[in-house]
Amino acid sequence: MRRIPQYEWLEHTADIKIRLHGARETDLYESAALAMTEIIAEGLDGEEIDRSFTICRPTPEERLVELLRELLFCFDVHRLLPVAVKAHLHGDQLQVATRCLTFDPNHHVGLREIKAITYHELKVEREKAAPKTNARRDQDYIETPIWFADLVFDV
Amino acid sequence: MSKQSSRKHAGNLERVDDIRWRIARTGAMRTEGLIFLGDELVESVRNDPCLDQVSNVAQLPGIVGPSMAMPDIHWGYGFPIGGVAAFDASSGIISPGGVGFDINCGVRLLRSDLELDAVRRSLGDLLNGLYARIPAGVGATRQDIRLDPKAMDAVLSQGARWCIRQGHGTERDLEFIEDRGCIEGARPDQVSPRARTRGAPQLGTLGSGNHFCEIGYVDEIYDETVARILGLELNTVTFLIHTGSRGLGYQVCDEFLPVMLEASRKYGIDLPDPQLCAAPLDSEQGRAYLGAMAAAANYAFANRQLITAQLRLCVEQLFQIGPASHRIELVYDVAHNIAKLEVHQVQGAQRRLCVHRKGATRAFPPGHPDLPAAYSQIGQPVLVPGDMGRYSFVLVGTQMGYQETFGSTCHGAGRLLSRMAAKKKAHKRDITAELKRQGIRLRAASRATVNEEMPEAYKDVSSVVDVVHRAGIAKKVARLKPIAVMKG
Repeated sequence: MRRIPQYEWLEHTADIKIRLHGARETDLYESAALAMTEIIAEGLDGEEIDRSFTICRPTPEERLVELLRELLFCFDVHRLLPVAVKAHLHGDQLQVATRCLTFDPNHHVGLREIKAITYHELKVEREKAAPKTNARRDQDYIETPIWFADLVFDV
Repeated sequence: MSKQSSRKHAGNLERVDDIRWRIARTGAMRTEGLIFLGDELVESVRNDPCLDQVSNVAQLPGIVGPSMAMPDIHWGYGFPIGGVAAFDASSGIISPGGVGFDINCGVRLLRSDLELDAVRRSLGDLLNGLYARIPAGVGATRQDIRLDPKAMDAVLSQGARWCIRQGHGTERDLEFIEDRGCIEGARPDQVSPRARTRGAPQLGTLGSGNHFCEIGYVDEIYDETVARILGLELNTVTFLIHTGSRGLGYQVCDEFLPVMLEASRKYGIDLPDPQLCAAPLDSEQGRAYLGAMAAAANYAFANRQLITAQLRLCVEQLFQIGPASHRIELVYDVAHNIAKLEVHQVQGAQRRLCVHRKGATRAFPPGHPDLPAAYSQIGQPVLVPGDMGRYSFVLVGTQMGYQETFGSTCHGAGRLLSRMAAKKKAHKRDITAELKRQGIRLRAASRATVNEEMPEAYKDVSSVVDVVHRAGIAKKVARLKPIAVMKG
C-alpha cells in the first residue's frame, strides 16, 4: 500500500501545478492523494486511521478532481491526511482505500493550505512515451510511465 | 475541461494612451477589452494567458461596457485576477469564475492612537500575542467559538453585525465596512452542510498562503486632507488584516461550479472556457448562487471582525489600556473577490448591473450614497496591500473611476515568482533574519510559507498603484510600512 508518489512540480506563478505519472490510471489517483499530503504538511506521525472513498464519475479528470476534493474535505474537517493509498477502478467507479495520519498543528509542520482542487489546465492522458521527468521513482515501479496528469491546486 | 492557452489575443493588445490598452472586439466577443497597464508591466502580461481571459469574459451574455482588467492582472480561473466585468441585471449572467474560490477575500485597515516607539519596544510580545490569539496556518481552528446551525445561519445572514451583537466590536465598526458588513439577500439555505461543516470551526481564523495580519505605520502621505479624515497621520500605527471566507467560501464555489456548468448548457450560454460557467442572473441557479455567495461574503466579514476583536484584546492586555486609549478604529474593510448588484449610469441611463470584481476593489467616488457619512466628501477608501517587506497603499475612489470602471480599481501586488522559483531564491537564506535587519519582525507557521511569500516573490505594488493613480481611477492617499507580520 505504501509507495512514493510519482509527481513533479511544474511552474505556476500564483498556485501549485503538478504533473503526475503512472503505469496505470489508478497510479495517478494514488500519487495525487499522496502528493496532496506532501503539499499540505510534513513530519506526520501517530496512529494510522483507515478511510475509504468511492467516486463514480465518467472521466479520469472528474475522478481525479472528485477524489482530491473528498480528501481535502476530510482534511479540513477531520485533519486526516493519507500516507498510504490503494486505488481500484471498476468501470466508472473508483474505490480508494487510504491509511491516514491526523495532522496536529501543534506538533506537525503545516506547509500550505489548499483552497480548492481546480479544473484549470487539468488533463489526464495516456501516452506511448512519457514526457521528460525528474519525478522520484521507487524500486518496484515500472520504468516507463504511460499515464500522466497535470493538475492545479488553488492555494 | 482543460483550459486552452492559445495566447491568441496577446498580439492584439493596442495602446490607447500611456496606461490604457485595448483588445479590439473580434470573433464572439460582445465588447472590447480594456486593460490598465504601465509600460513596465506590459511585457510580462503579453506572454500570459490572462489576455485571452479578458477576451473570453467579453463573450459572456449581457456584458455592459468593456471587459476590464486592472494593472495587477494575472492568470486566474475563468476570469483573470484583476478582472472587472459588469452584466445587465435582466439579460446578463453571474459566474462563480468571476468571484473566485475565496468569496469576499478582502482587506481591513485599522488605525490607532498607539505610539510607534512604544509599539516598537514591545513588538515581539505584540506579535507573539497576536499569534496566540488569532489561529493561523494550516488546520487552524478556533476552540472558543463553536457555531451551532442556528448561530451559523445568523452569521451567514447578518455578517459582521452578528459579531457586534455577540460583543465582538462596536456599532461604529459596522459603519466602516463595505455594505456595513452584511450583503443583503444572503441565503443560508443555499450553503450546504459540507460548507457549514468546513466553516464552523474556522470563523475567526486567518488561514495560510498570502493571508496575513500586519502591524505597520504611515510612512508617507500624498493627500493630507483625505488622510486626516481617514485618521491617518505620519507615524500613525496601523493594522492590516487580509483574509476571506475560509473553507466555507471555497466549498460554496466548488459546489456551484457543476450547477453553473449545467445551467450554461440549459440556457445556451456559449462558454469559451468551462471555468466561465454561468447562469442568467434572473434564473433559479443565478439567484441561488447570488444568495450563497452573499452568505459566504457575510461569513468573511464576520471572520475579519472576530480577528479585529482579538487584536484589540491583545493590545489591551499587553499595554494594560482600554479602547479609549488605543482607539484602534476601522479605517475601512473592502472585499476584493465579489459580484455585486449596483446601479450605474451607462450612456446617460441608470442601469442595474451585477459587477464582478475578482482581485479588484470597489472604489466609489465622493458623494456616493453607499459611503459612510464621514467619507462622503473624500470617496471610498481602497486598501492595496503589497508584500511583507515593502509597503501597502491607501487610496480613495474617484468620479472618473466610477464612470470608467464602474467604480473599481486594483487590489494588490500580484506574484512575480512561482513558489518553486521563490523557494530556489530563498535557498540558504534566512528571510526572517533579513526582514528583521530591515526592522520587520515576522512570525509564520512554517519556513515554507516564509520562503514562498518572500518579498521578491511579489511585484512592487507601487508600480500597480501608480498606474491606477495616473489613470485617475483611484487616488493615492498614504503609504504604510510594515514593522511586524504574522503569516499563516
